Amino acid sequence: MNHHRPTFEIIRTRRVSRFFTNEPVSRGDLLHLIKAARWASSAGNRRIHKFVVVDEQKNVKLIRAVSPGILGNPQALILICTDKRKAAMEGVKMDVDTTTWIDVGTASQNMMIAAHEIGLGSCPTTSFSKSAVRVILNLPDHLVPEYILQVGHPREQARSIGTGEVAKLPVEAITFWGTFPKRD
Amino acid sequence: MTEHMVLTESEALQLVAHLTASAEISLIEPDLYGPFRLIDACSKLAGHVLQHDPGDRRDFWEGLKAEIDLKKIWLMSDRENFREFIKQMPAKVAQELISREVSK
Repeated sequence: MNHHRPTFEIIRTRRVSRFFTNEPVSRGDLLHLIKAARWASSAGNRRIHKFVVVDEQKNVKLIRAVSPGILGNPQALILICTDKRKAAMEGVKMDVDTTTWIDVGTASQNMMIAAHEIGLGSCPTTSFSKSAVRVILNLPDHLVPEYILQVGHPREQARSIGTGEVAKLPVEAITFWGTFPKRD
Repeated sequence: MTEHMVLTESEALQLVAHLTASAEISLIEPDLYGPFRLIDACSKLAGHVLQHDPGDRRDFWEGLKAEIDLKKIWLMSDRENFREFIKQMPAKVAQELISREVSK
């Protein structure tokens, strides 16, 4: 079996970075991450999400102020929004269709992996005020802010978040093969 | 010592932005995130105090902020110790309050 170790190594060694240097992230690198998101799987290829890139420091600072989930100093933010107009065109039932959330996740993971590959750090964020972000970015009504990816050049201690190394759950603890035994 | 100003109006607004956003997201986040948001706000407040020269009380504020910033993120990796940290912090602050009463 041909194992593609480089890809798996990038996946395996990626960690959340919460603290960054003050070095700006180039627009070329940010565009690279958006391209990675564009190649993510999307339910029914509906593509109901839009990406808002925020790299002007004035706006990054404003969004930080209303985002308790941003603990550090990201140099850029990528906001994933659901496009309600596109969702309506595609017949998506927003109140019950969980694929809309899954698509946010696949796009985000692609961006985080792409960021790690080129030496950038990233951190997913859902702890922010949607109402405040809407006002700060003057978002049109049909775009719903769902998620923010923090991006920057990681500081060395960026991965230190706890009292020690967090042990990853062994594969055996989270995997089941085939059917479960019948219950009485 | 004389009392120092600890917040400019702009800094107070930053803190209010953090607290109001925290209130909004606390409606949907797990319960344990509430204490995290409050203690994180304490760190931000301590940061502002330090920017306005707290004089001979600097050590207390520096220590408070350093401890919070070190331990608040245990929420994500060590919840038992995070809970203990949250329980112990008011006692530490109370010690500071008492020491100031005694020195009056």
